Amino acid sequence: MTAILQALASGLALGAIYGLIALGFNITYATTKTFNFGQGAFLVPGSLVGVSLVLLSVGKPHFGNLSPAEMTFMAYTLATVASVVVVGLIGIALYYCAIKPFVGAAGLNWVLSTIGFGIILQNTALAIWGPASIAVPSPLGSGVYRIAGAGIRPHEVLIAAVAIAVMVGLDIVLRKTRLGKALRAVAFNPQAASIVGINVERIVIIAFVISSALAGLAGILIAPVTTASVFIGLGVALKAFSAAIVGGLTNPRGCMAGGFLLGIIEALVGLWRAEFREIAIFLLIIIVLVIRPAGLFGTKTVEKI
Amino acid sequence: MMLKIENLNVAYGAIQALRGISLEVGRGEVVTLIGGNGAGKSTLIRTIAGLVHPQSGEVIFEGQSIAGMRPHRAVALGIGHSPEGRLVFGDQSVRDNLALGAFSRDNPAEIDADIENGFRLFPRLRERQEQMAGTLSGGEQQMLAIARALMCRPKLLLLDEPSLGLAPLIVREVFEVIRSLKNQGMTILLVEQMANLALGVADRAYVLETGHITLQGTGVDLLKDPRVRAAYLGA
Ligand SMILES: Nc1ncnc2c1ncn2[C@@H]1O[C@H](COP(=O)(O)OP(=O)(O)O)[C@@H](O)[C@H]1O
Ligand SMILES: [Mg+2]
Repeated sequence: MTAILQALASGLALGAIYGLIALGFNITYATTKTFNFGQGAFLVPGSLVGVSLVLLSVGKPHFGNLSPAEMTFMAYTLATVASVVVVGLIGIALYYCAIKPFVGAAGLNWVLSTIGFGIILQNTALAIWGPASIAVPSPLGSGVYRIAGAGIRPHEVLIAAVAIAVMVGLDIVLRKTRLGKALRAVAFNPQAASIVGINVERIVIIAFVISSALAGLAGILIAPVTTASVFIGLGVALKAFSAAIVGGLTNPRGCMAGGFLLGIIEALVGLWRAEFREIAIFLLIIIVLVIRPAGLFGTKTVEKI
Repeated sequence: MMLKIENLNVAYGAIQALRGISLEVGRGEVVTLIGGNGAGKSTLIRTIAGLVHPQSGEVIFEGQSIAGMRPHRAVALGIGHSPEGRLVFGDQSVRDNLALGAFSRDNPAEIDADIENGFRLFPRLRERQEQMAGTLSGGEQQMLAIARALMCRPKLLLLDEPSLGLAPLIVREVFEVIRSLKNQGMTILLVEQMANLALGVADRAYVLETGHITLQGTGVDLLKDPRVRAAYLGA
């Protein structure tokens, strides 16, 4: 029982990470029918930029290990902001280099161009930080909360709380604000959006900035769990992509729900047999897609790729 | 002249849709463009709105060349567009559709007042203001498309086949609104296949056939013209 509770907490945190990245896939897919296949690489600067900033701020070189005392809550907050901003800006570069030349055109060139952009980004990070990983202390320390006998790591609670707050915030933005309504108008029909005076390209760029920033946020949030390194992103992004497909790529809430679903299943199955985690998840994905091709909460059929 | 089009050529790949079109719309005028399916009417409207870029020729709006301008820029200059097929935002409420129509503006109080004006023009939209636009009837969607186009406070209103697919009674309702907009001094370029209605409300008219303007004159004259009667009025 306590083990299950513990696994649920980890699953919730992991699922929140998947959900954040999946939401990013949804936002650009809705507005452009494309998304960043190289999204995994965006977690890399997400974790490393923030961590290096903290290192530099305590007078260490940009690559090294941080002591728990150096990772104050303030330092982690600033690192998070920096990661989100930097990776958000990389999203603008992604748009101009890998999306704009191909969006709207027939074919799948954008698939390769976004993968390529991700590889370039990852290898740039490799040149800056090298292949070794940095152990990142959580600002909440390494102790555990005892809840009903289960040991729950405070950082997992932090991940879930931040991610849920961001998701709820974005959901409100999408439904209630002028920007959100414009995003949905572009998603509904770009030409119709343009003739009411919406600068469609600007909205699309904003979508890529949000999507990238979400990946950056995921990177810094997960760093204390996985460590920060050039190689953290790929597996996480693949799960997040699966979450988006399972939840329904066309539905932002579906994407978030898909994230939590996958995270929790992964943690629960892992409790039983760690090596069955991936098997269970991808079996589940296949079953869901056979029964509901547009995902659990999707509306339209997803484009065949 | 509010709008002056000179020697406009537009093509989609190998398909030449407009060939050397020249046309004018004066301030406060209602001008209609009639012609059969595929004549190039929508292409002309879409070129003015910036959705299609011409090969050559001039589109001059209030003395400024706007050919090839991006659509949101044209809206900001004061060109409102109710497109063929309406293209209302189906997953957003009627009120939000109207608010989006004012995207180029930023005074919330004025925008709310203009939404009210839209509801006065089309009272059915007021009743349905919280309803998703996709659940409206075809006629209501057309009304919404026109009301939405008015939300940018246009100097020139482009109406592309507002009668398309609507029951005769609804068509009459829509045309009554077009007439009242005319009486308020709105400048309108109206594209229609329903030639009798369009010529009835228009000050001047052009007949478009396979990308050429073949006839032009006052609405009244063209209503009497035997060639128009034979081709477009079923007489
Ligand atoms: N997006 C497009 N791609 C290719 N050809 C088009 C496109 N839109 C219109 N056309 C062609 O251009 C011509 C004019 O079309 P259009 O302007 O829509 O005519 P109308 O509005 O008078 O019915 C037609 O031959 C049509 O097939
Ligand atoms: Mg047409």
